[in-house]
Amino acid sequence: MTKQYDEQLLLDYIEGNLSPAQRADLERRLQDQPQMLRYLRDMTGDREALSNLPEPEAPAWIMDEVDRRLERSMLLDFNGPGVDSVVDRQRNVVRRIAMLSGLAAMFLITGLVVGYSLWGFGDPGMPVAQRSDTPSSTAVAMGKAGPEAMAANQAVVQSKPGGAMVAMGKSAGQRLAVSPSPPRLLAKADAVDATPDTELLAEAVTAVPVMSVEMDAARVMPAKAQAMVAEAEGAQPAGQSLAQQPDPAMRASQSKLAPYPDNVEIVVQTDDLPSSVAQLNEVTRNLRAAELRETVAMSKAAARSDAVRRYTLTVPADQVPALFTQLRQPLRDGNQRVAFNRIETTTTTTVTTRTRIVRQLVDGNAWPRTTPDYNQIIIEQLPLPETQRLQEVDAARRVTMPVKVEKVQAQ
Amino acid sequence: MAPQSPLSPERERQLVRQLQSGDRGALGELLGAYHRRVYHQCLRMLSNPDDAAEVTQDALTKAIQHVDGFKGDSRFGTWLFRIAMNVSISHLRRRKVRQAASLDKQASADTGSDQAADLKALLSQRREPQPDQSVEQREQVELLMAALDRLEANLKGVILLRDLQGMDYQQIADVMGVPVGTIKSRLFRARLALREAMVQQDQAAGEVRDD
Repeated sequence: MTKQYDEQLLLDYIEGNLSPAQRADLERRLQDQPQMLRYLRDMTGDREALSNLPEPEAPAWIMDEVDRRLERSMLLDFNGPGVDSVVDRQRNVVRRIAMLSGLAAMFLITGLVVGYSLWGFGDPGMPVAQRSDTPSSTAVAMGKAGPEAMAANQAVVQSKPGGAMVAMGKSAGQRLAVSPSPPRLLAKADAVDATPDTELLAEAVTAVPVMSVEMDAARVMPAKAQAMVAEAEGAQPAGQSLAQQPDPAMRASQSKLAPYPDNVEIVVQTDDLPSSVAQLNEVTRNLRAAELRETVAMSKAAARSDAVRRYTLTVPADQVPALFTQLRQPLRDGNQRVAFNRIETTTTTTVTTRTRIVRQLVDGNAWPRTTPDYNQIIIEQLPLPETQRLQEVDAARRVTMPVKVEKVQAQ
Repeated sequence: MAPQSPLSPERERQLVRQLQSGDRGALGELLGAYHRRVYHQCLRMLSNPDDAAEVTQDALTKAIQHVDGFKGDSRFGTWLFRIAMNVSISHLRRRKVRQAASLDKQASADTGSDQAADLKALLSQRREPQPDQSVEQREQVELLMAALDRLEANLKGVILLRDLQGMDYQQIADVMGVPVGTIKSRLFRARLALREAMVQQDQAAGEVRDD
């Protein structure tokens, strides 16, 4: 049977940590195991032999190298912790400045890139897509990152008789910016479309004569109402007809207003008028009567009694009579009425719409688009003249054939 | 019994205080006092004087480089031996890998060249002037060294720190970075392994003598 021994007890026996009584007790218990006892005594002898091993001399060159290292360390210390700390502080300051400068440069570059992508450097009020004559790599990168976001920046550029350029989003009525700058996107569009990924199939030019109608609107209190007010105030001189005392605004408008009298507010038409009228992005469409009424109603609602608001509406020439009819219809607002004076046409010009029909030679989704997606516009809005041959094409083929249409307008 | 410390406890405490106040001269004195013991430990660990000198120098250099890491929580000797043991065990492992690669590479025909080199190194460090030792004692020492060389590094380190350096269990535990109970268990196993190796060496030597 194998006996179990206390390892700690045996170790203490070997190392001489037992008291004489404990030692004698253990030896007495191991009397019947002389081999084990001899083993323990041999281990005790091993320990003594190891303990008595002579300590050899270490080679001198060990400490030579150590002393050299130590001297170097002491020399570094002799320069002083103060010097070191000053140097460390200076290094930290320089390192911190360098780090902050790097961060600032990084943010600046990032801001410039993002800013140029969004607004460009030239005209802060207009998206870069309308100002750059050549497509920039940044714009391409932005387009790759988000084609939808790129498409949102794409604009229709139109020139109006007043010289204003209105940038429109793809959806009708979404106004992005108004700027008096000439339309420069034309060059960009040409440059982009000059890439060999498209093929010009056809070009349709439509010239639409448009006229600008200038009118002055003022809110006028009727003579009866003015008499009632004057009677209440008791300030009117006796015998003077109230009807002969027109409202100051009315009087100003009736007295052949100067081009820019003090009481005339020049209203930018695109700020107040419905999109389909003011923005002229659908000049080929006939203005509906409802749109004309809405335009006039908005102008009348904005009319004020203390000033004359001058509007300039630009409509296709054939719609001018209908506009005049709408403007001459009386509009009453409570005890007041709105009068349009000096209704006259100022300029007549022609808006030319050039429609280019190109075929995509590469996948349009692989590259950012710099022009609106007119595929849907053509399908949904533009009643393109279809030839007999095209009508024979089945609907599936028409859908699968990618077509890009670009509008270029010039006066 | 090996001396506990080459410096008096009071002198060592004084030097440690100077060292912690930034006096590198105190470090030089401490290293000078301990370097012989460190070399002895490395020599018994590695059984090769050249390797022992190289490892000792490496350990002392590391002590200079990392003296800022010595916080005075333990004795300076304990901290220094910890470095020396780490360097020695790393050296032993590298040498073991090299030997394994060499054995794999060489054919069995030319066996003995490396072993002969080790034996020469062993004999050279055993040829120390020991006029008081008898032949029997010298044979006993040689057997002990050969047996010690067969122990694995951790067991060898523990038994050398205990018997050669005279450290107590707590100091050994601090050097080896293990609990005291582990040190005791490891120490007993090391003694058993050493005894078995001694028996085997004795039997092998007896066979050689019989031949």
